[in-house]
Amino acid sequence: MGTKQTTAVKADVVLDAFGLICPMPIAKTCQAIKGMEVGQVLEVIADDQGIVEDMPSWCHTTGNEFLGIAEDHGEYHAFVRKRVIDSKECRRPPCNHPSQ
Amino acid sequence: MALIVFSNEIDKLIATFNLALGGASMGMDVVLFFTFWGLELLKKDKTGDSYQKPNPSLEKMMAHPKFPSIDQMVKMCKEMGVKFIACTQSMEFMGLTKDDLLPVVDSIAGVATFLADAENAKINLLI
Repeated sequence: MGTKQTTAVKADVVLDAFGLICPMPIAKTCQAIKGMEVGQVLEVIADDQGIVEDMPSWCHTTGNEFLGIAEDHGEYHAFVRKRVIDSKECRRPPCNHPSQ
Repeated sequence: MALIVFSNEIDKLIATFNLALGGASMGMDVVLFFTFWGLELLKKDKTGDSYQKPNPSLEKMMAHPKFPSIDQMVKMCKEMGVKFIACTQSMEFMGLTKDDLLPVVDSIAGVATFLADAENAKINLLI
C-alpha cells in the first residue's frame, strides 16, 4: 500500500521534513508544492513513519501524483509530481461571514 | 471541516490543530469555532495558566523541539487559511470583548454562523 520503491525519479525541489512529526510533513508538503510548476517533482525527506500512508492519501485527495517512497534506516524519501494547475491545496476558504 | 474548540486542555488543543492543519493541507475549508474554555486560547492576556496541562510526562515530552507549540500551530493554521470564529455567547459569559482577543480571530459570531458552516462541512467535531 503506497510503498512502491523509487529511486529513479529526479526531484526538482527537495523538502527536508526530517525530525518533524505529523501533521508537519504533510503541511510543509502542501506549502512547498504551492510554489512549484505543474509537472515538477517534489522530494520530501522525513523520519515520521506516518508519511508512508499519509503521502499517498494526501496526493489522492489533492489530485497530485504519488510517485513512490523509499526508506533507508528510518529515513523516508517520498516523491510527488505536481498535477494540479489551479492548486486546490492550501486554498483560502471561500466562505465569507458578514464582517463584524 | 468544522471543529468546535470547547476545551483548553493542551492535549485536546494539539489534536484540534493537528486536524485543522491536516485538513487545510488536504485542501479543505477549515473553520474553528471557539467556545467556552477554548476561548482562553484567543485571549491577548493569556498566560501559562490559560491552558490545562496534561500529565507531567506528556508535558515533558511536548517540550521537545520536534513537537510544534500551540502558538506555532496557530500561526501555521492562519497562513493556510483556517478560519477562527469566536463565540459571542461564551464571550458574554467570560466578560470578553473583541478587544480582548488576538487578531487571529476572523470573526465574532453565534450559533447560526457555525451551523451554516457545519451544515456544509463533511466533518464536524466537538473537541
